[in-house]
Amino acid sequence: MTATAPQTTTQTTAQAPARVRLTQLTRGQTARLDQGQLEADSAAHLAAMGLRPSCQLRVCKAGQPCIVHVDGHAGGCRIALSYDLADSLYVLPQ
Amino acid sequence: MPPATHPNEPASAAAPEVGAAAPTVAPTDAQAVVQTVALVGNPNVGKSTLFNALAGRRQKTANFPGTTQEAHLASVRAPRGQALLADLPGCYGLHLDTSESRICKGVLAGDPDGTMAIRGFATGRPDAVAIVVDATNVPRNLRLAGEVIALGLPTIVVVTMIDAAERRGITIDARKFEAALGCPVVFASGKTGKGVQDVMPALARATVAAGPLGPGDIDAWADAVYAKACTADVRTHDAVTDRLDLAFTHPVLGVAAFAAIMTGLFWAIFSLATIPMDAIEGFFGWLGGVVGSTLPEGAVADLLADGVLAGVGGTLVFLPQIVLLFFLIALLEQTGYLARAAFVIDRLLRPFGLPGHAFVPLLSGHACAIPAIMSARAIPDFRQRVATILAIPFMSCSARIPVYVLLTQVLFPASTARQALAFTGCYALGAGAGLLTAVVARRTILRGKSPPMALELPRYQWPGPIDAARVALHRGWLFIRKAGTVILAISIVLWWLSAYPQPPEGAGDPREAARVSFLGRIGDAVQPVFAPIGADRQLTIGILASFAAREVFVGTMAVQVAGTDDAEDAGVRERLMEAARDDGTRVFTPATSWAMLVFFVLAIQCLPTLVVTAREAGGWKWALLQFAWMTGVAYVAAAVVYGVVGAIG
Repeated sequence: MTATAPQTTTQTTAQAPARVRLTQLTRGQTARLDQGQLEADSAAHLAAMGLRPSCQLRVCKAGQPCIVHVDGHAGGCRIALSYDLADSLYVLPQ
Repeated sequence: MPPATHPNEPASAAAPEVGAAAPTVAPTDAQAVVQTVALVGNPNVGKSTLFNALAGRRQKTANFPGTTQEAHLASVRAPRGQALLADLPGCYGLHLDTSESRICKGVLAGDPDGTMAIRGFATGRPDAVAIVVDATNVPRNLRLAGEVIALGLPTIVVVTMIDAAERRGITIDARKFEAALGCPVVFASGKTGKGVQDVMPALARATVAAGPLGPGDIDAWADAVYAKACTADVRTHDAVTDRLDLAFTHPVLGVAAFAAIMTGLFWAIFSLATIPMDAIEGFFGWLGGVVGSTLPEGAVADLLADGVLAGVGGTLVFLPQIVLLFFLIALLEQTGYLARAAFVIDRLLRPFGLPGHAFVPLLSGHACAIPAIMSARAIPDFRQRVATILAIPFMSCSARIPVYVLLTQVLFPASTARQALAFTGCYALGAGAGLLTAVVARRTILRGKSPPMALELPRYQWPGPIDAARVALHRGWLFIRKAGTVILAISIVLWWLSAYPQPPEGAGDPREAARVSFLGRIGDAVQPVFAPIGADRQLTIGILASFAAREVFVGTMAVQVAGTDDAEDAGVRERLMEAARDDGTRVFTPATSWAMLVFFVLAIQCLPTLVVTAREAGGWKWALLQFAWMTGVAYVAAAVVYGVVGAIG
């Protein structure tokens, strides 16, 4: 669980691999959430559930549904996303 | 790993500030006398379990206008008298476009027109708020906590799931947490009862904390609070949960597991509920006999025996199925399985404009539409929820079974196999019509993009039968209340229409009584309306009577044809099958029987269902639309079937 402030997009882009769609990750891969192509309501809802920009996540299951563990380790929460929704989210693989 | 400090000791002084937060405000004497308390938190944090542990059985429900959400209320003993405790719906944030968020914000912040105010909250806002925080997911929970604290109400934080957090290597330092939040912190588990006794005393010390400076500051504030008080020193993956999720959401394994679980659930409902159902039926039959033999013959005895007891008893007989259904669903929900199942079924229902959440309500509709419609509350999107409610009454409920039995026997008296095939066809026709209705509704009056599905998957855990029983009994009580009011009124009106005016003295033939009653006269008058579906005067009376409750059809037909409502009797069945119209031709020709079967599969004919639809969908326009649509579809389909079968001969 991270306690540090979110990284800025500039820093992340400079140091991390290029962003990919969440659906491109395989089971067990970890990543940080980048911006998605979501409507404001959906983005706000996901952020309130814990999927906010720069959060760390681990893919527990790829496909439909895509299950991610937010914050990636002992704490956090487990969120299932429909394939379409997962496909509209971009992540920075770690 | 245990917390570094004893969690539930009161803080000795006002907490120091955190990050950019302003100084906290010390409790005043006025704040110390807590009278009304709101319990708020994310979903699945153990909030309702904590509420149940605090409130025991003394609970009632508050509904909010225009929503399907409800809050549970209870009077709870506090250090200085009683406090009214309200368990608000779980939400992820106060400013989201969801009914849960609007309710929590309305109750906590006070809304201008007062529609979200809870009766008993004299000032329109609670005197204090208890924010429930899941110890295994503190960062996410703190965001809602920050929004609530920013409202400026006296606040405490109750941390739950401590045991699960310790197993995962998460440590929360209670004193540092209190200092960082600026309000009292209590560690409590509603499940084990540990620490629950400290919650109400802590509320007497609730303080108005500073919290984040503004909406844009919440993330930084939450991160700062977390960094000061919490550590997670073990990084482990929950491999068991990963494997279970893979199996339960697998395209093949997941569907197979779902089919097996649902088969078990409905087998339990239909087999185990039979015993209490028979007992209820027997009890009301006995009570009717006692009334008939005790009271002198006349209108009062008839009203009690044929109106009140027959009507209410005929509805309450479904109570065991309803209670068992909600008990088993609550158990499944507690295990964490239902959230996974919603995704398995989502891909099957999505083409019909329905979400995965709709499956359990649709399946429950095969027992009784009333609890099924009530369980549609779990569908978050309004359009999808109403589409589900419009589709549910097409599912073949238990009350249709006696009608199916009669008509399939009439159609295939010599072939049990064909009877079974026709019976199955009725179920398929109903389910197909329900899904078609959902598609039509979602492409017309409920048009709109379906929200993408995102669900938090709760951790797997053993279910708590006591909490599940509490949920089931609450639902059962709501159903009894309805049977005692709306259904009772309907039963009395129907009895009066069918019993009056009474035939002349000495004319003891019940068939004549049925003919001269108001219902009989109405049947005469409206028979031309039902002629296109093959109904004569007697069938029209049967159809009209069954608009209150469809199971009345068989008994009404038996009274008109055989002079008794005992349709179980083999002789009466025989006479029903051979019944003649006024012109001497058979009542149940093949064309009429097929048309009636289709009509009863598709028509709504259940006034209590319409009452529940009006309440759950948010207005009588939906109930009227449901009635008009189902009756129209049933009428047209039955007329087509009557014409086609009649032409084939």
